[in-house]
Amino acid sequence: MTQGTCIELRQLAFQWPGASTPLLQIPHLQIERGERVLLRGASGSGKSTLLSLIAGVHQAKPNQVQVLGQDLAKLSQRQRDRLRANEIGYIFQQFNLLPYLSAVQNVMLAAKFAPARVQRLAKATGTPRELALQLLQQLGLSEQDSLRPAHQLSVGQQQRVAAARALFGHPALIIADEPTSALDSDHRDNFIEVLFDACQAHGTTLLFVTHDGSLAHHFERAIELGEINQATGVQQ
Amino acid sequence: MIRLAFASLMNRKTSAWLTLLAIAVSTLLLLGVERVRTQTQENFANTISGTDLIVGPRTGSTQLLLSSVFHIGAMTNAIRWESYEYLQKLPGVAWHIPIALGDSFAGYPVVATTPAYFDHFRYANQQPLKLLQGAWFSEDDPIGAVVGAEVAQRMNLTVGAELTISHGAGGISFSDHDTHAFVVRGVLAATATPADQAIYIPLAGLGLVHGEFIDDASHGHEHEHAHEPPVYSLSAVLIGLTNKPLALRLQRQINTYGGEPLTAIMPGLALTELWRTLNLFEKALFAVSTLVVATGLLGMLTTLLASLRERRREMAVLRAIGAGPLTIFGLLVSEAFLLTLAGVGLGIGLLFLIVHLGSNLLLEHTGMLLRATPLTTAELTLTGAIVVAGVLLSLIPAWRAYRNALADGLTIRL
Repeated sequence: MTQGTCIELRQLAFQWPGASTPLLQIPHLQIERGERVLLRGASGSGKSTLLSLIAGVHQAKPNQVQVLGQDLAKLSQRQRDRLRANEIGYIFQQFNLLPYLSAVQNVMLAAKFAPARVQRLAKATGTPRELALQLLQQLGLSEQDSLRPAHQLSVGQQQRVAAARALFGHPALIIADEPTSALDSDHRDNFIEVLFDACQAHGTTLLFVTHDGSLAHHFERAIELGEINQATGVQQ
Repeated sequence: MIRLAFASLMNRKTSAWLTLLAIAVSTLLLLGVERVRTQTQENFANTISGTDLIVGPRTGSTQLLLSSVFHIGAMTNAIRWESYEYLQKLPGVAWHIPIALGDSFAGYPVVATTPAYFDHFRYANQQPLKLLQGAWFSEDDPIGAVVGAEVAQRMNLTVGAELTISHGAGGISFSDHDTHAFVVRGVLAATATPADQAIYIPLAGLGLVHGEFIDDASHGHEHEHAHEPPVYSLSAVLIGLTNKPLALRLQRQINTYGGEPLTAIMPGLALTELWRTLNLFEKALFAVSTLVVATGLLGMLTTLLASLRERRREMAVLRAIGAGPLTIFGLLVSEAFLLTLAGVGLGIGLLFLIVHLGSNLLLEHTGMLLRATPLTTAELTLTGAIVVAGVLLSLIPAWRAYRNALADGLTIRL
């Protein structure tokens, strides 16, 4: 398994332009490579903002956010976009897919802006399309379903496709932003299981964000955002 | 990028098709107006070639040109036969064609002239008139007639058919010259000029029906005057010169002729003058069709802007997989590019379809000839301008999407 630090936050302080108080103030948070971490926080606690900082969509100050050994503040917008494309798989709560593409096309989309993923895929045997179909099958989608337009799939299936897209080409980190909140409990447990297996198989780091504390028992490590965030501007 | 834009567009088929159609129709209009304008000018210019001067009674140059060559409008005045004799003797005159107008057959203009018309009249690229069948009437055949291609086809006239002309240019006449029937001697090949819609008869024939000329053969020698003119007056005389630059001097000489007030015009110059008069009208037409194109493009802008709201999810997904804001920007621009390109393409296709299918109908009803020739440079420039304008307009929604992409990040705002 890959060793080293995946995400490290140091003295992170972030506030939106125009806001009077900071939204996030995190002295320290470190997540190792291959770790599977649950980050729990109430809605409005700054979860999404934290994720967008880690994903490099928004920019923190220098030396505050390190992802895979890189200080995101020192990267340009383009470089951060490239890092996200190559190394971060992102799963939304819902509406992860482009409805007009088939499931397998949605999965292959992950390699579109990510040369590193393409390179890693080239080492495996099979065309990208075959690999995408394989991955979908591992996540429980039949080939027939994989070829259907995304908008015809059930919500549970859509989330699996989203997971497959996040995992396609083996990025180092998967960020899942409330991926199960649109699923019922059966599907939810099943989805988490499938996601865990896939992450374990490739030593992928998983940062799983939810407001639902009952999922904590699935994870080896659970973090309460309210406990590490010292910002006063957040209603707890 | 283009493929993704295309797939995204197909997902919004209805609005995409409507936008495309609006652009296509406006392109069709713009190109159609341009084509009608240039090809009408071309057709007019084609109608008369080789004629250096047109002489008529004192009148405006446009009126003289339109009535003598295009048979549009009527001349209120005429020139005396003696003036025609004077014109013939002018130095440098290579040939001359007398024309007397004013009668019609089933609404088609009757042109009374001499065989010189057939010998010297040229159209388009110095092409002479050709006969499809029969022969041109001869000097001593006052009841011979030659009919234009369209007249022959529409009125079902062939060599040997009889026709009766009526006084006046309208379709309905209250005084038919039915005591004097003409016999069709020849049918002209189509020329795509007003010659297709004309009936040519000898001057003597016109004199007969008007009672100005009495045929010697049938009425005996009652006239002591050996050189009795076939008609008393003419509408116009077309003149060809031995030496083109003479035209200016001769024009002045004719305009100052003492016998009666005459007008001599150079057809090319008169045409230019006519276009200059119509310039304002053309400009207005062009402006209107440009505005229609602008409306089409604004329609596209509206749909693109409206779609941005519902496409925020799509944008967030693209951002999540690593698409930069510039990529989002490019996506919208290429979408607009595809739309305008397809719209313009469809518009051009429609134009050719309409010109191809409708040109006969148009020719029959208006005498206007539109040809499905390849796009001219001017037309290509116009279509190019439409595409460029479409892409430029798309910068507005693209810029907004770019800003949204930066602000929204990965949050999906619904």
